[in-house]
Amino acid sequence: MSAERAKTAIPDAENGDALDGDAAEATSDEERLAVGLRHLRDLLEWNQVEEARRFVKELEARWPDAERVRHYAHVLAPPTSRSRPDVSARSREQEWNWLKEHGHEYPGCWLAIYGDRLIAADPDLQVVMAKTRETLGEEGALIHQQPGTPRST
Amino acid sequence: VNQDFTGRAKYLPDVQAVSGDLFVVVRCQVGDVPDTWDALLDTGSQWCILPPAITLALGYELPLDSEIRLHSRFGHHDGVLIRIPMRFAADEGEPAEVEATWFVSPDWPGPMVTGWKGCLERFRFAFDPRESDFYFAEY
Repeated sequence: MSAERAKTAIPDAENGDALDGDAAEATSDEERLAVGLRHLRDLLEWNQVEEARRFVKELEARWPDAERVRHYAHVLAPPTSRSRPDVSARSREQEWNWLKEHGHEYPGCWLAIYGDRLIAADPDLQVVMAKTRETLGEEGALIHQQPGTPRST
Repeated sequence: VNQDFTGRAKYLPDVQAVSGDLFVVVRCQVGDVPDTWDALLDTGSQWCILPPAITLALGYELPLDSEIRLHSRFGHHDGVLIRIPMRFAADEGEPAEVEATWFVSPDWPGPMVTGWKGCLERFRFAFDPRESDFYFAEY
C-alpha cells in the first residue's frame, strides 16, 4: 500500500460529500463511515498519528455515537500525565542486585522478586503472578523474564 | 537549562532480554496490578507495546481481530490499541502516571515497550548515564 492511496480515500466529513477514490463510491452514511475508518487505520499504519488525531475529530463530529469512532477518539487522544505524591517511592536496588547475582540460575523463567527474596520462578507467568499475590498480597514485586530455555525438572 | 523533576529511578542499560539486548530498561507499573515490570524505553517506538503474556497477566484478553498493523524489527504484527494507565515507579520523589495507549498483539515476540505516542510525549524526562538515573515529571 502507498500513502497516495490513503490520500484518495478521505471522505469530506464536513458536508458529507466524498472527495474521490474509495469515498466517491460510498453512497450510504454507513459506507462513508467505513471509508473514514479505513482511512484512519491507514494513517495509523503509516505512522501519521498527528494526522490521525486530527481526522478522528472530524469522524467524531459527524458520527458521535459510532462505537468504533469513539474507541479511536479515546485511544488517540493525547493523555494527561500527573505526579502521584500519594504513592510512596521505594528503591528496587535489592531486587536488581538479586537479579544480577541469581537471575541466570532460572533460564527461561518469569521471576518475581521482592527485596532480596525470590517469591516465584516459573516459565508460566500466570503461575508466578498467582504465587506473588498469595505471598505478598497488595505489595508489588519486580517481575522479570529471564532469557534462555527452561530447565526440565 | 536547569530543569526540575519530581521523580527519580534507576534504569538498567544494556539488558539481555529474551528478544535481544535492550539499551534502556525502566521500571513501570501497568493497570492496577501493584508489581513493577521491566520495560524498554524507546522514543523511536510509535506506541507502548504490551506483550501477550503480560496482557493476560494484567487481566485483559488478547484481541481476536485487528485494527492496526505495526511494523517493527520483528516484522509485521496485527493488533489493537487500548488504554491502560502506566506509572513510572520512583526510587525517590513521586511516581508519574499517564493513561497510556498500548498496542496489543497476540503474536508480539518483543519486550514491553514504553513508546512515544500516548505516553512519553506527555512526560518531561532526562537521563544521567553516569549514574544510570532516570528523572521524570508530569508534562
